[in-house]
Amino acid sequence: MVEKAEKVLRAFMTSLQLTTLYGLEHPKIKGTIESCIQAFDELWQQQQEIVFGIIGDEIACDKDILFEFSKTVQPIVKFLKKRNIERILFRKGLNRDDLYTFLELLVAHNEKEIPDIQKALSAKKVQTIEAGRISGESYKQEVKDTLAAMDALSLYTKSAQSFQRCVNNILDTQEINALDIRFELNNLFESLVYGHKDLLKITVLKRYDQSTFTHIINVAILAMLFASRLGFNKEDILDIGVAALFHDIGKLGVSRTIIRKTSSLTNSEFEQIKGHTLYGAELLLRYVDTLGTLPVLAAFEHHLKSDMHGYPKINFNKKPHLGSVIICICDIYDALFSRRSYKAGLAPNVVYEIMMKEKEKMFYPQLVDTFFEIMGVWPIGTLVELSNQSKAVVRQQTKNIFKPIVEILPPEHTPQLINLSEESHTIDITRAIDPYSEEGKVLAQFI
Amino acid sequence: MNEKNIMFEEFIKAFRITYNFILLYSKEHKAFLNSLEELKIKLDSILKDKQQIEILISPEGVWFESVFYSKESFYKEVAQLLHQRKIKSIRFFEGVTTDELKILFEKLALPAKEIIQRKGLAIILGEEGNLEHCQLEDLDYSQLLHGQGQQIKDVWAFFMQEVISKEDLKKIDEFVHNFNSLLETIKPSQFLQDEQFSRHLHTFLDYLKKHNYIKFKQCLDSLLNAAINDSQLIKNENASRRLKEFLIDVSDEKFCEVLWQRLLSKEELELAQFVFLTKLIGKGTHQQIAAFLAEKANKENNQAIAFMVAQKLEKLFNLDKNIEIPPVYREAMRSFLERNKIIAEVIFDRQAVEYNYQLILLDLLSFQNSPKKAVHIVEKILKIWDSVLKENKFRFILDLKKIIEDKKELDKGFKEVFEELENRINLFLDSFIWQENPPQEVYSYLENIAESTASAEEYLRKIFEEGKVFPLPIKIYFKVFKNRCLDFYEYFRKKEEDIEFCVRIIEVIKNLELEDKITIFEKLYEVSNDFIKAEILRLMAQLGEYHKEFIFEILRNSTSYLKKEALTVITEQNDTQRALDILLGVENKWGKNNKTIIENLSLLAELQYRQAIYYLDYLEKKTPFWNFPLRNKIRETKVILNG
Repeated sequence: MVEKAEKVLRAFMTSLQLTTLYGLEHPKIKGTIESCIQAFDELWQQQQEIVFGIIGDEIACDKDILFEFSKTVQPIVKFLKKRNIERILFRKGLNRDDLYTFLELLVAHNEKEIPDIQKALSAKKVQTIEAGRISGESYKQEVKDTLAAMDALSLYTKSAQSFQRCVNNILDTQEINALDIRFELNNLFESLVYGHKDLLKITVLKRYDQSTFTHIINVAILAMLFASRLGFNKEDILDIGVAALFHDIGKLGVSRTIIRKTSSLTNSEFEQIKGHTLYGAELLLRYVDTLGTLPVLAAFEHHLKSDMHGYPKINFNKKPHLGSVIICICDIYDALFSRRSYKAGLAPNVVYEIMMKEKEKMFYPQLVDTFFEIMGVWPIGTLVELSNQSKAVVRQQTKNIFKPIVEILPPEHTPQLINLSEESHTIDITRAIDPYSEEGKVLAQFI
Repeated sequence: MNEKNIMFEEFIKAFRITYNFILLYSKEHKAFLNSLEELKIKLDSILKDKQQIEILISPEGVWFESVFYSKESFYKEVAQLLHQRKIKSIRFFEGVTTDELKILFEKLALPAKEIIQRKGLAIILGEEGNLEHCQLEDLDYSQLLHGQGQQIKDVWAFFMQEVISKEDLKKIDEFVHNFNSLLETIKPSQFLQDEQFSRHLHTFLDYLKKHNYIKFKQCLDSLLNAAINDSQLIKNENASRRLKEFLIDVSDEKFCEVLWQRLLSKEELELAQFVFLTKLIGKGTHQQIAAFLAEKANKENNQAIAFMVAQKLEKLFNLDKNIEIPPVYREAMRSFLERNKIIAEVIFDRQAVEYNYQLILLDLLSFQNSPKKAVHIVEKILKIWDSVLKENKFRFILDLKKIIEDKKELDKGFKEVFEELENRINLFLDSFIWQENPPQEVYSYLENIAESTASAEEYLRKIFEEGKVFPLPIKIYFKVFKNRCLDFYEYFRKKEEDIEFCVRIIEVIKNLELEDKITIFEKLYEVSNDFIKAEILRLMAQLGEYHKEFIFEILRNSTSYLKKEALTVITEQNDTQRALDILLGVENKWGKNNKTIIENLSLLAELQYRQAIYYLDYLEKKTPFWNFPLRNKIRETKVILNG
């Protein structure tokens, strides 16, 4: 029984994933919907309806909790929860049209404009599907907790864990589920588009985190944001996100001692560092069928420089792909910022100065300007000290990349928003404050 | 399908045939009358045991006894025919006669426009007065507004006039509501050619302007939007002028706004659309429009939108140089475009992904010194092989070949790894050998190959039997199959009757860069007839290259015809002397070789071989006084050469 329920659910979730990524018109969808209907038809031979519920991160079917299955569909669980769906009932008589309608409703809205799916289903006269929140007191607290957990930090952390699993699989030359990766990135991207400030704040915060995977996830988030602001379509953005996740995978083949070394590298050590681009590209070649070719490009090209001082030394001349350049910019930006056990993070204004100085060596140097037009010199979420000695947090960018809108923080000053770019203000940002420092921790309480 | 369905299907088919016949023939034509009889039979069988039947009409099909018939095309055809004639339903009563059906079809055959002008088919049939067993119900016109087809234009024109004359506010509202769908059905370029329609539209819009200005503006906006998307209209100066009469109340700001919105939308803005819109603007100058657009652009805060607008403008400004956009636009937009110029390059280029991927595979392979590790790179190359071939990526293939050669030299273990790849490369490259004009980069490669996948026999067969007399295979043959040259000459000998073919061969050889080209010519000379021999000598003369002894031998022992050609080959002064010695210095005791020398003198005269003059003086002195024939010939030749 449970197997059949899992089969139905898996078929439905695959349809949902594909619809989210490619849209209902895509030729792939038809096949998955057919499989889904077939799975349901088998189920209807034994029962009249089936109910799935989401409790925490687990999926329950009738009285069973599908623990193992739930692990494999976490991105979709998140997706559904964001749409306030904790319970789905499918009834015998379900047909293709009803399923299409349901999928259409699920993917048509972004999380900021969540519709009442049940009302929408009723309006469309779909009687074989019910979807919505779990009613009943016993669930309320649990649901509340679940939704509360769906904040940006949780999304960030879960995504990082999931990507980490995927990277490990690649290193072990095991299979990976590219659809899950794209879906996970899609969740991140949606959060980025509809609530990007929260997610960007997390990337700022996470730069002080020393975990290996925070860097790659930061780069992926930044690269997707950058690509979306450059007007790329969703498919291209997700491709860039996937490529960004794996661009530095070759570094996992280089000794940690060398990577963390703070003194000058010997020639041999530097050669090993340089080799990460080749190693990464070769590793990702094995996954071209699942991840596409852009990750190979990004791994290979992200250290190429227009002045030929980059690496690897290529024999077959070409300009790096724009996707690689975007990733390269985000990579440098995040790396300069990030604190590591073996190095201190740099202040945002210093990062800006370094990147502007180096930009002429890069392909598409104007992209660096554009990047800062989007990010500002002081990124959203940065704790800063102002020239009037007050402390603040950056809330929003303005046209003046040096002068964002900031929120003054207590206790020494009254909380208020100030647009530093307005002519009436002569206040400047003087420095960034490490959120992990004592001073930063105190201030963080007021954010 | 049950019996009822079959009967109804038969009836509708007969209905369609009858209608087609009334359109094709007169109402008294036998074919039409026969079809009417047939229809009557079908109708009677449906009416059997019934007092009446009703058929409901929709644009997509017909309803009969709660069943919707639309799957077969004839249902739709009949439905549309009746729908366009404003018919909502038809009822047939028991006892319907052929004459009644005849009248019905006569009236159905009237043009839709006439039916509408005469207030509908029900009224027309009512005027006939004797259709007891056949009733029609007219459709409310508003449903027709969603209709399609040519005749719908007439319907609209009529209704526009009707609603205004009756001042039916509800209908007017409905009409305005459907104005967009009208413009989807009838494009401005179509109705502007129709005087009646244009007149009615003017009247209608004038009415709105006086009585409901908001709706009037709404219709104008729809009209303007439809006009921009009407490719026929924007290319037609006259039509554009006529449209302007309709849009006289549209403010310049509105035009500018539409232009800006168009730049903002995801749809492309064609150059012709841009020019069309700027021409529609009334009092405004290009300067003002440009300033308006620049102001809008500079105020745009969303970077992605700014990039998109800049991209569209760049594209417009750099498009067709024949259609000029006044420079004032670029000038006004200069700072905006400068600021956003990066967008010109910022495109996620899918083709570039594949291109870079291919070159990365080459790089990875060239860096890889382990045959074992190279295996999966080779696998990936094999996987993209078809697309490489499809796009004729010669550079890629040639570079790949070079890498393979280098790697094989480095480690013998690579031989096996590259086996399949090499086969594919060689097969691909060899296919170009037999093309008359292979791409230059492939030619440059192939002309230097040291071995070929095809055998010498295959080359000879293709050259001499299939007539592939192209430079590349001939060059490759003489380079790769040096020890098989005799076979080539033998094939050539067998073809000596085909002079044109042989000349093609030697002309190709003449233009090849081959070290021993003259030797090849000499060998071909040996196996040729006189005509081809002469041709070979001519080509040698053009080349200015020859082996002395080969030429001197011809001068000694060949016919005058060939001697003449051989003489033209000689370019060196010393060789000329030697040639004259051979031709004229023949031992001539007692004049026994007079004939040969006189023939040779004629040859020199014919050639106007002025280099021989000094030799003739010498020969004259040497010739005894009694040898009049020779002395005379010498003098005669001197006169010619001096002349």
